[in-house]
Amino acid sequence: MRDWEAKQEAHPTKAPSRASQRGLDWFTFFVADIQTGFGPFLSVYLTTQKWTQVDIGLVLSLGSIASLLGQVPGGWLVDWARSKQRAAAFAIIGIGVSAFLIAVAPIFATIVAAKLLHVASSSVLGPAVAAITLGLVGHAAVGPRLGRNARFAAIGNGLAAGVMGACGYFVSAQAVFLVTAVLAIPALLALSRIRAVDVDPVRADGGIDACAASQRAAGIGRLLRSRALCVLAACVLLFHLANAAMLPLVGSDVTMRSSQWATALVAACIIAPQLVVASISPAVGRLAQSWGRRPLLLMGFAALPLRGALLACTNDPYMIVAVQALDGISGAVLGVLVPLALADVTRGTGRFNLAQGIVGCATGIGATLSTIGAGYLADHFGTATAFAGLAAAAAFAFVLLLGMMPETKPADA
Amino acid sequence: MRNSRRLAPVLVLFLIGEIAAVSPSFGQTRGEPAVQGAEPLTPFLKRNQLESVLGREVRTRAEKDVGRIIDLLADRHGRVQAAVIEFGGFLGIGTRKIAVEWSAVSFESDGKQPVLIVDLTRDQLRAAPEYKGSEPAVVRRAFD
Repeated sequence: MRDWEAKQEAHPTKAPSRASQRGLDWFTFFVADIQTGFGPFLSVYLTTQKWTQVDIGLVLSLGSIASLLGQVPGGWLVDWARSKQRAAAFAIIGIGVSAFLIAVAPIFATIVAAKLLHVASSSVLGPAVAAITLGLVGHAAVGPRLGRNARFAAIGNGLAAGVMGACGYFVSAQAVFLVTAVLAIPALLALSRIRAVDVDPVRADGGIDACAASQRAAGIGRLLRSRALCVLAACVLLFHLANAAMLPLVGSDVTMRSSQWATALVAACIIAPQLVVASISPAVGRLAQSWGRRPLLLMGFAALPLRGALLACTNDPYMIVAVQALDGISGAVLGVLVPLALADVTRGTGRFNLAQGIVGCATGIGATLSTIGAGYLADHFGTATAFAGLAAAAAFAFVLLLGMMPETKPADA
Repeated sequence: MRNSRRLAPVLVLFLIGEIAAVSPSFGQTRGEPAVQGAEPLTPFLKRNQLESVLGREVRTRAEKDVGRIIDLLADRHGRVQAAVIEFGGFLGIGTRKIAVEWSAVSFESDGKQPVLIVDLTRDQLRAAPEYKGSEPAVVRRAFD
């Protein structure tokens, strides 16, 4: 038995209260809600405000670059912060203010500022949610709890997509951002339900190895020497290289192929995977404890090349929606297993959140390149080739995972 | 010296702002002289005959809310030849852009606010080739 485990046993932490668990349920739900409007919908809104395509493109590019640069510092900040809840609260307020600014003042300077504020807040909020989770339940129970988080986040995503889509269609694009700003309030309320005493800040960073001489968090160098972390980051990069452009391409294809039901079908393509995530992710969290992380990661990474290949073959819009459900399998696995594997590999380093930032940066790089690459392929060789290209990247991610990724589940857990 | 040169464009912008604030006719087509000594702006159309188009919703003859005008394409003489319309998708995901012949777009007044009508069917719109900034393919109206 390693020393830090002895230390943990010397100070056994009581099980988190029911109120805190409930608080975390609703917190993940509302966090998913408030992030819905900031995606591609921002460009629709700016179009209604008579923005030119050049300005919209500029703001979105600035946002992507800032997001790439912000992930690692965001994770570092969450490790550094004593209270993860306070870090999360500032991030929620930042996102709320950003949404409000976007709604009331769609002029260039404000939108750039709001976009940067949103990016900075999100890069803190993502790690902070996982940190609160780990701090609340500890390594032994974090798998099932991450599964539960993923369920509530998926319900939040699906509902918000439906409600905000309807809001944008029937009320106005501006209303979507006002609703987002208002939703920051229940998010903060849910966060306040998580009791401060229930979240152990040291455990939330991955815990500190008691045998480490200085009793301080490990250096970044030690983190980057972890093979599992590097392989996981590379696999996540490739995954998003394959994944990010798939849904927009699917939506555009459905818009072209279906006349009457295009809007509803594109909505179904977005919401169907969320239903799958909501139904299977708790089981994924439990199975990760008994089967280990590798088999589940492999399943999630296998679903993506399959989806790309099927999309390359099919033209029928209803079939496309069915294939989209496969996205739910990858979504559940990535949502649960990536933070779980990171919790495994950073155990005892005090750098859980920095590791999340590194993987977040890999996600951003993959997603950015995905849009560029798939756009090029679709323009020059057609949509089917673009899907095939994305499937190839996904297959490569799967092979890399199969060949290089070790099992990270601790032998005793 | 360097400072004053850097300030010059700012000053000009400021002056333009002032003129715009002082004179209600600036940038409009009323025809009163904007600034003393400047050329009077010639009226060429009444205000209510002109409509802003960027960001406006367009509809076809049969359906409402088909899409939105996001850009205009002009030829080398500055004459507008086509409008770029964005349509479809959900929450901004999966939208398509197409360029439509400008003469197929018209304003029609249905009581209060004029609406933009594109004289094509929805099926013609959705099947049209995607507009790419590099090589504009313009959908032409079928004259039948």
